[in-house]
Amino acid sequence: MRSIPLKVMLVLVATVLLVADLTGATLLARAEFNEGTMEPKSMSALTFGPEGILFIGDSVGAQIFALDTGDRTPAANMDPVAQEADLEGKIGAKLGIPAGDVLIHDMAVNPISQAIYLTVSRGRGEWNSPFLLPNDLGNASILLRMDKSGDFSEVKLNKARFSVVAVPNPVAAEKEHRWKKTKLRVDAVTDLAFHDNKLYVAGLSNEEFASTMRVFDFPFKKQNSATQLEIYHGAHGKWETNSPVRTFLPLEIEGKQHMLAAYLCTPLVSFTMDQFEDGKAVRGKTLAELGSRNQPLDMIAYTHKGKTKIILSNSNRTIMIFDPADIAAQKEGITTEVDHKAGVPYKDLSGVQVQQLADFNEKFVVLMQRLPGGKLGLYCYNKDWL
Amino acid sequence: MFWCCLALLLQPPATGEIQLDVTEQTVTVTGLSDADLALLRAPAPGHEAVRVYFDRASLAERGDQPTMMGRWRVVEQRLVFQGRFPFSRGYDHLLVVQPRADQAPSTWVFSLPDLPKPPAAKFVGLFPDSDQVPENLLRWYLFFDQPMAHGYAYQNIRLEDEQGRLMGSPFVVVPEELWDPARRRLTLFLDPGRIKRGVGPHLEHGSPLQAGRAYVLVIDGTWPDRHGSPLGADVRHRFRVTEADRRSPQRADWVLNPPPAGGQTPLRVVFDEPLDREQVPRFLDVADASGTFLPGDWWVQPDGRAATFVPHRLWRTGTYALHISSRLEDWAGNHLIALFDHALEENNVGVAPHQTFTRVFRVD
Repeated sequence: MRSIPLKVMLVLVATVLLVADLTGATLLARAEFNEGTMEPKSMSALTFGPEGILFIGDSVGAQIFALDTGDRTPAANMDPVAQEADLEGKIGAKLGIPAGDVLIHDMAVNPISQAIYLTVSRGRGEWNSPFLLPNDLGNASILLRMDKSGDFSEVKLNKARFSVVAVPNPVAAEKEHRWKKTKLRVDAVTDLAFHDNKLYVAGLSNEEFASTMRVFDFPFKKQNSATQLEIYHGAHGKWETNSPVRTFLPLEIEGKQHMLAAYLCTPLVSFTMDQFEDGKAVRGKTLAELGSRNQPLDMIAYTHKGKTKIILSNSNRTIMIFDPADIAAQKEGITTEVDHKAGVPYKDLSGVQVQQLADFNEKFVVLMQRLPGGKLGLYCYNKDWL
Repeated sequence: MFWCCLALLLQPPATGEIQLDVTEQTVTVTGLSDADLALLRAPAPGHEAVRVYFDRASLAERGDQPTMMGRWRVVEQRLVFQGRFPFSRGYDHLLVVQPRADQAPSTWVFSLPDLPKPPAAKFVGLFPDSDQVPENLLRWYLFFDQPMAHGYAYQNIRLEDEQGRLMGSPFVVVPEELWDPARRRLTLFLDPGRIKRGVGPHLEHGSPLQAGRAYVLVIDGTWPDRHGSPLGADVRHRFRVTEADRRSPQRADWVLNPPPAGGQTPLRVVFDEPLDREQVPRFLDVADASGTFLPGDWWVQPDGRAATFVPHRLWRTGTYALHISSRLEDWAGNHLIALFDHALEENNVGVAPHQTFTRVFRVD
């Protein structure tokens, strides 16, 4: 019997340990996935977990899917995605509809392959208010994958490998928004984040304090926790519980895990993660008021060249860049009525109407922006410039 | 020279005819040669032998665009393409068949005809439609029998004077446009900055309407409905302007005609002056002695001078109360506790907060 040289053995052992350590939990999760037809009623919100697992929030169906995309071939380089000046036109050509009938609901980037995933519906519906979001207008039923060269393919949902968990006690299907007159159900899931083997899900429940943060173990178990969120909306001068978190992310502030969340019209609020407890109602700390008549659309955080940045895109404001040190320095939250702009400072970046935003790779973020000519562009932005 | 050589190298294009099946959402090519069919049964790897492009016009404009999602196969002697999604109506689709990469492509254009449009929407009236309105009229409501397109309101409404001269900027332009959810009622505000005395726009341009003069409100016939069909002919609403209304509605002067018990005879309320017809059902309620609101329907006289309430169940003997929100306004936007345009020195910085008044009546 030939002996294995010590050096090779060490490498082998290290590799086995590394693989086991990184992927143990998710391999287990994928082993529990079923193969079959995935039937979401609305693909309302997306986020990637590890190993090419795409989490899909289905507001209308009140469920969360974990889809194994099988997309695990690492990207060959750190290049940007091919710039596209008319994304809706291009998708429309694939779907057989004019650009104006393409509605993009959410975007997520697979960090392994750097492929961009989009949920899309055909037909714009009755867009008659600047406060309507894509999920108010239609239910996304098509999942597309765009590779770096700009080629699209459809992610087939029949013969999919997935697991699914119900969102208990979602906001009732018949409830309407007070002044938008839209169905509140489309906000049962507004945003998702995967952190520390848990899936965090923001949205509306059927409780009196409707705004809720749910925490699901992954692999999914039947039990999950739902915490009701209350915030002080400084620009309105009152405590609010009905407006859902529109976009959020986990963030470590001074060694403690926080959830940073942005709301319509536009409070920026932090919660400490250890506050989240099933059945409890918790109050956030309002860090800033970022302006009226504005929807915060997407928020990301990344560390580039040793510096962490938080980037927020808006329907009616520029891109805002926050420094975590400024957030940490905001010791007291806003608890009295203030003007439309108050609190934590930020840097403006040209870029209004950025509909979707995602961390693309170590060099770039990717933005989807409504351009002055009315078309929807998709392009990467170098992190050195942010 | 180059093109000449290229043309010589290319094989002749495939021949055939196409058929569109609207039910199956397929396009079928028949009459292809056996050689082409053989090639299509075993296409060369990497060569997209059958391609369908959505909208030939946009393809020509862009020069290049992705092909439509769908599947094709050879069934007996036919080539069948089935789109992933239904074909859109009213667009030219381009089908390209090129069994071999070095063969000249054959192309066909197909389209599904547009469905016939429903009859165009009609303008069915406005409120107030009186031929006399006060100088400080605050708003009109315009009514249509079907949903209208969004984004065309202000370019299709104009105000002219008796000589047909266009009046400049009489209305507030709200880019979102103030439609009801069904988009059949538009609320059109006269510029409040020009109505309120003592503020800049009024001092500079005066009231949008002047007492003693006559105007024509013109609804343009080109205004499109939801399907893009124009309304048809222009509508011209002629009216005279009377003195400004500077008096709040006086609820003490309203006349209530209580109904008898045991039936569904309407409760009739006669106002002291014409009110905003669209607001009445929102701001009036009827409650029984326990304070429970009665489900029922309000009907407002077209001129806004009176309203009736019919409960969903029979009137029972007892004491009732008409609940009146102070927000209810007359045509000039004067509500029950303050005028729309009040002089600051007379009081009223910080007008009393809105409240609900009651008028008790008996049903016997």
